[in-house]
Amino acid sequence: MRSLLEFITVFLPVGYALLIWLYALLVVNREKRLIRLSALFFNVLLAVHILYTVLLALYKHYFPVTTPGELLSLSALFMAVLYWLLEKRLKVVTTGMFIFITIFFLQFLSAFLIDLSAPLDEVLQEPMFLFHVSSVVVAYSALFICTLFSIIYLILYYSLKKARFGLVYQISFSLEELSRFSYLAGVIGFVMLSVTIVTGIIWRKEAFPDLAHFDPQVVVSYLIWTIYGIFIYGKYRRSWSAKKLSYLSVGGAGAILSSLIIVNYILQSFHRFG
Amino acid sequence: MSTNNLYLYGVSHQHADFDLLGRASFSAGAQEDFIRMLLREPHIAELCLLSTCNRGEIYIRTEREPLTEEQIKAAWRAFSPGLSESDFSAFYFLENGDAAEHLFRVTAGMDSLIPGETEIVGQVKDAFRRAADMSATGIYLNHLFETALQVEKRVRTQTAISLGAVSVAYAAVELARKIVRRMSDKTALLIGSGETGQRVARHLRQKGIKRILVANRTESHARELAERFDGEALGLADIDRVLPGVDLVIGATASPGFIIREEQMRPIMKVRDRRPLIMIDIAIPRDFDPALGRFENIFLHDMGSLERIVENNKNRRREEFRRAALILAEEREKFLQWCRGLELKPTIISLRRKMENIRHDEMAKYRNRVDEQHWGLVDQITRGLLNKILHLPLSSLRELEGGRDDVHRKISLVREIFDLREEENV
Repeated sequence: MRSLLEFITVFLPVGYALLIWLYALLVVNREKRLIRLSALFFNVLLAVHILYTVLLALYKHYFPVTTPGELLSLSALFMAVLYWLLEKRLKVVTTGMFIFITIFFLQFLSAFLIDLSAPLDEVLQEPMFLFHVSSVVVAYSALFICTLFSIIYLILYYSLKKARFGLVYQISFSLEELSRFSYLAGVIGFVMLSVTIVTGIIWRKEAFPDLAHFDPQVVVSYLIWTIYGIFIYGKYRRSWSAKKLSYLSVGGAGAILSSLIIVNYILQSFHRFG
Repeated sequence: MSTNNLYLYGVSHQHADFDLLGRASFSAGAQEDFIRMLLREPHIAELCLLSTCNRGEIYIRTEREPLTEEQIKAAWRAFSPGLSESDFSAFYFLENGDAAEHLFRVTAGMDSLIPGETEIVGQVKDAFRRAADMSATGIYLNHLFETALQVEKRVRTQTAISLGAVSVAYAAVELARKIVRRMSDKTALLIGSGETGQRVARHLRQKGIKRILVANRTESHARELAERFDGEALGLADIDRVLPGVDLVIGATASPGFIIREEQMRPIMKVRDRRPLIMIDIAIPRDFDPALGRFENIFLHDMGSLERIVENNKNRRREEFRRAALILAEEREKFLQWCRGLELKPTIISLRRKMENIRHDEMAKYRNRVDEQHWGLVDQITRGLLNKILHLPLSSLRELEGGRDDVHRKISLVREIFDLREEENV
């Protein structure tokens, strides 16, 4: 099984690179055969990625969400699944290239970082911890997609306001769709982040009762939760414009990114990975 | 030996102005007379005349005898007395592969005034149908035109040559669809009766817009226009009343002043509550106050924007020509290969027939010496032997490469070696 896992570890980033190429071709080439081939290859790649996660879990005897390599791969998988659902719903393939570039980088880094022989600390094998980490992966993946669509929204918005009809104007779907799916991804991300925070509080009390409440990662998570809480509140209760919500979402993504950098490389945090 | 030559003689907007194109064009009746006259020429086997407002081209296949530019020019001049000698300098004369590739380029819309346009496909089909109805086409031109139509499909699906709006009216619809998802729940307001505005309304109706409101200074005119688009008529005074519920406004009046001003829109935008409003001003002078673009949810565009979209799309289509040219070159090669096959066919049939005759003659000598029971076996053995012997030269002939002269030289060599005479051709 180890050699199969090693093979798929290399195959997945190569596969996603190929998918970027296929989706880039779709921007100019709408041949039915190519659309079918891209969809088929995407489905196969997604199936292989799911199989990889299952095999990794069987091989390591735990759900693979405890090391940076595993987390990156799972984030890539969730992003691919979310985009797959979106593509089925929208039937627009031209934005896939942007998503796959991100997925490729996550999987590429994962292939470098993943260690098939690393032993796992017992405390990290608890179901509550695994659920906690899985939910954060889903949350961050959804929030990332929310941000990506918000960025595309803002670019398209200003292109239309200033009558500049560049690449994004050519390949993007409508502002209405972008704001709708950005919001949907934001809601999924917010709900899963809420689950992450609750499970984190419960698990921390059980596993590390003496640990301080103000771990930098936890504080940043509260901040992100608040930003996306305002995002949903603004949309539902205050009817904020899609432009304002997009700026908020981009701000939230900035907070996620800075939290990961600060927590992992600057501050000595309990949440530090690796 | 059979020799097919394809010629193209013609003129198009690429090299001539519209005055010359007009004088070089043929009426429907004249086209038929021209075809009939050329068919009377003994060496012209097939022909097809493509005559549109942007081009006039004749495709001719001759057998054995070559055709000169002067010969076709003389025939054309006879039917277009309005053309002077200097006018013919704008005409082009292409042969064989170049002529075939030109037809592929024309059919794919790569030689059109609007790059990638599709109207030419129908015109090529009509021209071919007309020629076929007059029995002016045969196996060669049938294959050429069928290939051209297949190439057109291939170019259109494998490149972005036909993507993006190339008319101002359609660009307005394309622009609206970058803001709102679907048209089936949207309402458009057309103010005025400008031609482009009407075309936008027509495209919106085709895209399934839910409601079209037509406002005009003259209510009877508004009613007449509304009927045309299955819409509702309004007076100009009703505009403020309907604006809160409208998603797209098209300004196409001849009014000297603004029809919609910024201060007029302020209370309306409050009522609309963040709902985007697309305003397309195609009137000269403007119908909409440019200050309206400052509203966060108003997307105001004028003729300049639409023309920029059209120009961008045309340039993008032109950029695709490079990729399309590769397809054209590939299809040209396939077509020439088919032509070589067509020229080889009589030689292959003659060779096979000659060998078969030899086998029959030889077998006849032994007919009385072999009993009925073994005769079938001998027939089978000699037939198998002949097939095996012929396999190599026939395969080599079919795989002939090189220019037409090379192919003809090799065919002549085979005919000479095996003493195949013209009358043995099928």
